[in-house]
Amino acid sequence: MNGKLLGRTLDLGERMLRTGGEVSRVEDTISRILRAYGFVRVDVFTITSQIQVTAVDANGQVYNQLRRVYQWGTDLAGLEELNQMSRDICARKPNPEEIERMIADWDETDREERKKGVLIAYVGAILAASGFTVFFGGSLADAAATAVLACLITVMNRHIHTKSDNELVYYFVFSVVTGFAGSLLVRVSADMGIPMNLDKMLIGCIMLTIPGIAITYSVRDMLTGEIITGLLRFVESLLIAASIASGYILSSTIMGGVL
Amino acid sequence: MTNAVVQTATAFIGSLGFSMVFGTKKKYWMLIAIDGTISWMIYLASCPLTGGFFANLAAATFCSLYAHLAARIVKAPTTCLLTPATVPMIPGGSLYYTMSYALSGNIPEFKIYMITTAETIFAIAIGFAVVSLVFRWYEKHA
Repeated sequence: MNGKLLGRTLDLGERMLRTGGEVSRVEDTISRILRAYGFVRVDVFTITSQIQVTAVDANGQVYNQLRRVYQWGTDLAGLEELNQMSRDICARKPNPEEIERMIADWDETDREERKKGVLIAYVGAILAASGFTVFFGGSLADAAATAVLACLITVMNRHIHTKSDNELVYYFVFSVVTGFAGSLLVRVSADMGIPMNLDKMLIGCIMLTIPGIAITYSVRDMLTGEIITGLLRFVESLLIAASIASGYILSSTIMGGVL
Repeated sequence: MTNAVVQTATAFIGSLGFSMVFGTKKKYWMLIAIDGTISWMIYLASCPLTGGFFANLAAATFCSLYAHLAARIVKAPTTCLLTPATVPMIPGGSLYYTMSYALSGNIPEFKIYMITTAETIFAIAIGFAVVSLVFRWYEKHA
């Protein structure tokens, strides 16, 4: 019973990490839940790619489980629901089978929400990318072209599955494609007599993918004591930034050095 | 001045866009966009007086404080409100240029962008870390 409970708690923690929850939140959630069920000692160690727990119950029995987490992203509404679920579990103390059902329900609704959120994902990407094109000094024509590229980026983000195999290759290919599409748009519009700035368009698109938030949060994590997690994210962000930059450099070298 | 107005308006649009991209709930979109906009206004207002580092620090401190307080009022995890609102301050552009110049071998430009990026990242991270430590301390002792 207690071993099962530990497993379900890890299921919850794993999902929190995958939706973008902080390491400290995951550790806190797991130990709160286990203590609510009467464990006398709970030690949780979490980094972005792994959770490990050792818990001692009232009879002195020791339970030990480890969970490897392979991919992570950002799904903030999902995180919020998981957080609510953990409060609910602490308050009601349902049995492990019921927790399993709650988590299966969450998986199901999350998948449906993602399907329903297609339009929002596109509108969001267009607003964000075009907004930053103008923010960095682009014209309205640039913003319109960026909107087209933002749709292309969202299509790739949602439908290309190599992202989970190797992120660096994904971001490289993705930047080459975006770079080419951008250059084509600029040439076509130049033929029609509308001048556009490729670099302004691309910087808007880059804001969508560059791990600027991740790298800033990684330094914050290091400053608040989560050094391993911070380093992992920091190195990952630098590599992703490098692979994005090399993708754009390649496409611009081929297309004639515009950026 | 017009540049500042355009940037503030697009900071609003950008934070709103990122709230959608990151899948936050609809009811928080305005809260987040307002946070991103005010933070950017603080940055713009303090930049000529204090320079980039302290302007980013001030903006990040406000941004994080707003998100922590709002999260307690609407009872949502702080990250959900903070992450999209940070976007206008985040050195995404300069991180990209740093890497781009490093890879194309333009060392003088690389140095300039690397220093700006590091400075911005540290300023924001310090602002966030201080506010979150204060809240963590407060929750433990109050």
